Amino acid sequence: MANSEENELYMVKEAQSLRKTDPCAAMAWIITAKTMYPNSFNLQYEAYLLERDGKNYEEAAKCFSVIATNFPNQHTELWQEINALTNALRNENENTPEQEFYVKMYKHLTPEVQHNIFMHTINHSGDNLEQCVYIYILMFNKFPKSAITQAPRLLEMLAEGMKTDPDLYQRILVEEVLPMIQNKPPELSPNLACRLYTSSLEFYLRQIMDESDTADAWKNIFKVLMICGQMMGWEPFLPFSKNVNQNVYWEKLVDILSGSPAGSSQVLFYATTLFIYSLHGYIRNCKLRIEDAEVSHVLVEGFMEWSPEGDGSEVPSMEPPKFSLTTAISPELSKAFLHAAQCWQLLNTDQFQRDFSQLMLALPLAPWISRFLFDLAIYFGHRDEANKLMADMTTQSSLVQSLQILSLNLMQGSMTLQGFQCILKIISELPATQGQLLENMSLKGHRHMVFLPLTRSALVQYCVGAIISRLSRKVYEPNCPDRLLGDLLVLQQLNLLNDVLLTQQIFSLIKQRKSFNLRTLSTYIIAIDLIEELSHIWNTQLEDNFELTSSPISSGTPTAASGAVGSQNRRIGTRGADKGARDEFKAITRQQIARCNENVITLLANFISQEHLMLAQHIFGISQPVETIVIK
Amino acid sequence: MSLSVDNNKSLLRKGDMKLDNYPTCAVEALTRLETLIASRNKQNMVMQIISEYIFLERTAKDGDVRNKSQALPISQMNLFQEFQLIIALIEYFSRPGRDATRNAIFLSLFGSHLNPQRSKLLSRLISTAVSGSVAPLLSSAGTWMQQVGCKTPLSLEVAQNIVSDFISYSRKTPEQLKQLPMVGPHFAANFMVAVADLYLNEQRSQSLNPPPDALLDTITEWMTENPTLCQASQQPLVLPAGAIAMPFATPLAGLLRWVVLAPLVSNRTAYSNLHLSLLRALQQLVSSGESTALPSQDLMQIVKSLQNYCARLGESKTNPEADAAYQKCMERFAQAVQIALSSNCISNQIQLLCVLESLPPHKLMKIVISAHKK
Repeated sequence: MANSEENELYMVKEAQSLRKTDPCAAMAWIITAKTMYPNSFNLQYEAYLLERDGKNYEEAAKCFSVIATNFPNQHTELWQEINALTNALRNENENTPEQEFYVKMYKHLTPEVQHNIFMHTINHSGDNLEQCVYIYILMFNKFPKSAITQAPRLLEMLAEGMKTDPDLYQRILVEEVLPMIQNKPPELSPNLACRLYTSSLEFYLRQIMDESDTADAWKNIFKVLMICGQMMGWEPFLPFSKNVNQNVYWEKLVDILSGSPAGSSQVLFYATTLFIYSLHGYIRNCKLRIEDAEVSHVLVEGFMEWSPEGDGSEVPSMEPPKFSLTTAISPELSKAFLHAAQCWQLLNTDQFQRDFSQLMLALPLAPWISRFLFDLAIYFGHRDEANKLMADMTTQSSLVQSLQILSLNLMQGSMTLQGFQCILKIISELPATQGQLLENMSLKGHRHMVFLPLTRSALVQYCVGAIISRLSRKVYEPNCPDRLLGDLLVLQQLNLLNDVLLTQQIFSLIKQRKSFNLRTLSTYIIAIDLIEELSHIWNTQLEDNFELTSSPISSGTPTAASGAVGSQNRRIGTRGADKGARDEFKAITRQQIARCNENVITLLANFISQEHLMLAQHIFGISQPVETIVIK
Repeated sequence: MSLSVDNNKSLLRKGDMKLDNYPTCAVEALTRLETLIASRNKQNMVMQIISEYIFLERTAKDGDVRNKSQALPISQMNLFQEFQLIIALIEYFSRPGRDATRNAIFLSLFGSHLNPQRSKLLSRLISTAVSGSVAPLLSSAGTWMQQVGCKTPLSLEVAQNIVSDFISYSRKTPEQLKQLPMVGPHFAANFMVAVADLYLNEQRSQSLNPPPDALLDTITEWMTENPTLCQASQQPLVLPAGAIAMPFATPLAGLLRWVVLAPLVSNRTAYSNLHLSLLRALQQLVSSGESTALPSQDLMQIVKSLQNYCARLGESKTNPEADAAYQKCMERFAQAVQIALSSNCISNQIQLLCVLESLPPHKLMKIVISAHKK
């Protein structure tokens, strides 16, 4: 039939030659030819082009339907048009006039043809995964019902795509595909469903780490967990609510756990999600705004009150430590930490351990986990492990690191030279934020943990507490030197009510002595209560020849204090109390009372840094090679 | 005349039917006619009343019985009374009522043989109805046109008058004319049959006169926007009992003559549009299975004109195959024939194909002929 083909071609050419100059005449050729060659692609396509160029949406749609139905896949021209059509549909809101044509034409196609176009395009996408994915999404948008049957294929493709471009396909999964299938999730293989959930989790965790407002992300994570759970026929978990107590989630998890076989994946995923949720709450709450600055909280060992009445041989309790109510955020922080710890322990039981560690490798949680594990080690008192883990935390500031080393020292119950060096380092690196003194830093008889905010007050308080807790028991040893007692008095000024027993013990020792050298009087003692007490001693001991020595001139430098102590000291004695000595004592008293409003935090920070040689001598007993104490 | 009135005292009361009470007597007469028209034996009286009370006509010599049947009555109306009558008729036809009655009265008022005054009045009446979009009157006029024949001189006069009123003497084609297919599709279709006959028709004039541009544009617009307009004339007529409906005509053949012969005198693109809409109209006839849409004598008329043209080309020693105008004519003709054949609306196919084969050749025409000669 070469003749007929030739005739057909002749008519198509005639039409083409008239398309621009006289479209009506061109169309006359086309409709004539169509009556002779109804099955000619060229004719149908030419007819379509004519209608397209004439912007006749309805007619163009008719032609397009005929072509798409009768000549589905042999012709490149058709594919160009289908691509143009699907591209236009994909960005329906920002179309060029040309693309607008396709959108309008699409509306005139029958639903069957519309659907076929998508299916054909998908089947002919070949290696172009991205295009294929977008066409699926387009189809699901236009034909929500098709999602029910086709969603598994799309989800498989997404999982495939994530191997090469995780960012892109995770975003598509989470933002475009999941919302479409959430009302009727398809059945998937457990393997795929778990993979999709992990990917979504990864996506949202990255979002959480970048953004400040994260409630939405968690809401979405719980939603995705619900969808994936439905896919796998899991017992549904609870929906997310910002206000729900984490206990409720934990109880639900325990509930599900009790009814599940060992190592079941629903428990694994629910527990993992809960773990990360609690962990995130913990990490997030560790940073708090104080006085317009973001202040981190660091988990440290609290002080144990030592009392001389104790039998001296404290049996370390096997119970886990408590959290002190040192700041307003402490309860929340401790709850989040404990929940995370509970989940962590569950997930590290034999039944989950392998799967869980694989999950952790897939998720971008490393910085959170290392912090959490360190805190967990401290919490359980695993010193060696904590020391090991500290090496992993490269992002820590040296201040935090010093604090943590000090805390580890205290956990041990003794202070090493390194611990003391840390105190000096902390004092030298104090932040600007003033903050407030904390309560419940020392508790009786039980190990406890403190969330220490990195403020001046709290840090100095912690350092002072560390020193006092080392020195206080020496007060009860025989022949406690004057200087130690004097220095302890200075340190006690931070919080006189904190350990009244100790203060009383110091004063009773002072009273017992014939003479007492309080070299720090005129420099560091400014608390009215102490001065009153001293003056009371001085006045009531007149008959007993009491002698109080102090250095009249405030020692400006640490070397002055450690150097010639004798020569500069003045003695103010009650024996033969001459008027001059009495006046002098009064003068000193007045002078110190006048200073009572000085910032005690700054005073003590100065005291520690200036008197560190003396303090080291107190702590370590022997005259240490103090010159080697180097502030790093 | 007084006799007839006496005979019908029961029907006509003198007060209203007084001639000096015009146009009230005409209006009254129209009302009376409604009942008279129903009875077949009162046709004479109907005619008499119409002539006397509506058109105010008088035969040349009163009482001359011998002349009465031959002499056409002469109207006594002045211009103002004509105007009053047109208004009265428009009002009458605008009143609600049965289509059959209205059509019967219209056919009685305006038969197929009219004196010049009545036919002039008819043309004016229809033009007025067009400009006033008076649908019921146009519907009756459409029926009338089909019954008297669309190509009869009377219909052609009406069509010509519409062209004069709305095209020739009008700078811009009025909206009312553009809307005519919506207001009176039947009339519009019949009007197209008539008007198609007026132009590009060698049977009417020595040379091929193209239609005025505005008319061509109007017809093209009608055809492209109302693809089924050509079939409007096929609607069954609502006629008085016993009347025989005349065969309908479609404008397709006449308009096809326009578009095929147009390249010989004009190169306006409107012909392309009109041609395309004709092809589409022909395609749509498939379902109705109408085989007389393109009567063969109409197609022969086109062939004849083409032959004449080729003969003139021969005189100037021009080969028709090299003549662009002729080739364009044949292109359109062949396209129409192909579609008409595939829609089965040509009778006498073989005869037509043979005649077409005798024309100087055109490639598409050859393809069409060979495709259908098998």
